[in-house]
Amino acid sequence: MGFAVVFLVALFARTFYVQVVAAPTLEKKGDGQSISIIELEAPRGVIYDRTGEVLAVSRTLASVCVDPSQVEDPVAAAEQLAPVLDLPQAELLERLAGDAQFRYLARKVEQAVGESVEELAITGVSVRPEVKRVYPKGALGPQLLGLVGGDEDKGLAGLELQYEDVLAGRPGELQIVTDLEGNRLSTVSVDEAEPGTSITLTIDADIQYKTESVLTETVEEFQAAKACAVVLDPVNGAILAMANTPVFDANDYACSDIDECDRRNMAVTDQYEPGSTFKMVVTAAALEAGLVRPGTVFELGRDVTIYDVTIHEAHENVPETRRLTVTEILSQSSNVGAVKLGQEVGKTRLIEMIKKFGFTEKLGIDFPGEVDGQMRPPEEWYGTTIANVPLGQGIAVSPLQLATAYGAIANDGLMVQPHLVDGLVEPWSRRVVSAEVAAQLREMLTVTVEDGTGRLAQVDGYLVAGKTGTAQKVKDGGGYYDDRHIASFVGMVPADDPKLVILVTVDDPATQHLGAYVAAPAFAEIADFALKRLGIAPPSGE
Amino acid sequence: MSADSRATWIDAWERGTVPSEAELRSAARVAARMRSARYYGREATARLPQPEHDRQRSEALPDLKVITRRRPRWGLALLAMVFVGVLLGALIVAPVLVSSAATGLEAEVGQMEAEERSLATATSALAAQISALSSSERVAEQAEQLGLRPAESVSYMQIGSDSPAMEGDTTVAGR
Repeated sequence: MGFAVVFLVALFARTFYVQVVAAPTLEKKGDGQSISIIELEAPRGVIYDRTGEVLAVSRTLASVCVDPSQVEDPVAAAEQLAPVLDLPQAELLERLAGDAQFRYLARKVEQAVGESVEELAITGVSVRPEVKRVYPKGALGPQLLGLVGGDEDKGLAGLELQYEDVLAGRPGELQIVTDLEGNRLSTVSVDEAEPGTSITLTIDADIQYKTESVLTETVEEFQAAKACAVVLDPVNGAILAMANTPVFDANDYACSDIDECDRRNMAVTDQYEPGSTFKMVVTAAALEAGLVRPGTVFELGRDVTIYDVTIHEAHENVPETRRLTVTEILSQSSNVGAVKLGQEVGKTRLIEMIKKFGFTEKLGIDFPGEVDGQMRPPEEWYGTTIANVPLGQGIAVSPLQLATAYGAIANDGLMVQPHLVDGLVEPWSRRVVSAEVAAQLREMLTVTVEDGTGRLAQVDGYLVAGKTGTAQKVKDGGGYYDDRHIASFVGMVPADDPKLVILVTVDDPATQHLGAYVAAPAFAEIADFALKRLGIAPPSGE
Repeated sequence: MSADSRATWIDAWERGTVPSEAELRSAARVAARMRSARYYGREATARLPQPEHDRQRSEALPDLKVITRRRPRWGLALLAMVFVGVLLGALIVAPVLVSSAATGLEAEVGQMEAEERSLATATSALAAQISALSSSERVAEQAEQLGLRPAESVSYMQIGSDSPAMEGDTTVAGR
């Protein structure tokens, strides 16, 4: 009887301990064995081009990992894995051996490879899913799209960085109760994942590809350092192509064997002295101020001296004196004429027009790292500055700024904010010059292509308006290189009702440095393709 | 004297008659038979030695009937068993069944979620594949391999805007 009482007391005490005292700990321990936490992936949004072509998408791939301490026979394992993972056996053996608890054998390989590894059933070797950002078009707009990185695939450059908040989702978590075999029994809690939002670019993949192809050919032909181009819809500010060379595979961004500076989207992040393409601005200022008309005649010499600086014409065989209209000054890209126009306009009006065109500020394009223009503050203008700036010297702009400025001329004087993503940005617009002046400038620029320096920019069946530019490159310590140039052409097509503005800049071409010969043909080729691609018929209908 | 015999004697004494020895023995036998009948569950009737005046009025007394046992109520028992069964079912079996069904559904949900993930993975892989296959670069390469060249010139048709085509205007060959 006494024994039974002791037994019952002991049983009661133990029950009390288990049910009350140790209950929280045991409950936690039990939960730890039966509750599994599953991470719910939030796939990153897809990047589409304007026609719905996929430019960037996240794929779930397989990563092969190993716990070396559990591998029984590393040599045999390495032998089995080498052909599957396509890795050297010695390299695998090095990773399979040792006392580490965790190592990757291969990361982000195809699912089929992961399944093959699982079929080998090597103790200690496991396969886990991992998301990888892929760019199916390969070498298409790598500087534009940018890249993602880190374990969470965060945007690090380009549009991936700019729209990180939109593209990135928020991962969720699912807590489930499982049995010993891992079968799901019940759900404890769900924190739903929020997938990233997809974005649609204004970029047209085909025009982008053609632009990159043309630039690559141009760079090869003229042995240039690099080139960039912008194709813009002047009416709504949509950028249809923004290309840079050298082009590389966006899937191999980090490993690509190219200079860091070539990974930048030069059209937005780099400045250059625009050279003669800037003569449009001083002409616009003169016309807008009512100082001249397109037919106003200037009597010009071979050169013009302002203080201690003498400006010469760039061309040879220039007569001692000549009479050029404002249209001819622009179409023949007369330096002396542009200086004369600058003097007519004066510092204040010129600065005002430069500001109205937005060269001194950022345009606010939806792309990271945008630079604003660089112009000497008005109070620091020398007497000779008025001779330099009209020629596009002593002022630095980005290719995008120049393209947007020409976009205003194409759009009847109304400048529209350029943008790369459709629907997320409400572009601003502002009037830069009157519609009349814009029309006059278009006519003058048409003459430049029809009968001036830009003949090689002509496109069969279409009227083209544009301006060539050849600027000496600026030395790091100041001054200009004599033999290094930036050749450019910026124009619009069809000239009578512009649908496209295209700018091409070629950096440091070796065999030919004039924009008229280097950049103008590239413009024509891009324009010809883009017009057909967009179904823009020539006015004649032929 | 047994209790029955005594009761018979008292009864007789009260009625003014004293039972004879034979009556007493007879009463004892009847009592014994009754006990025996109770014991074996049989129905029995007692015949007591009756005095003369009792015999004369026996016609007026009701027949005594001794019922030794009730018939078993099988229906009620069955009902009780069913009730208990239902109760047990409700308390024990039903939760188990519900839990089992829920677990089955949960497993199904898990499977479907896994399938959804797998399909999403396949979808993104296919989207990437389609995009890669339809890339301008590949199309240009394939076209070149087939001997295709870009058109030298493009002709655009001029469509008159004053007389748009109406349904039925089109003549289809063969009709």
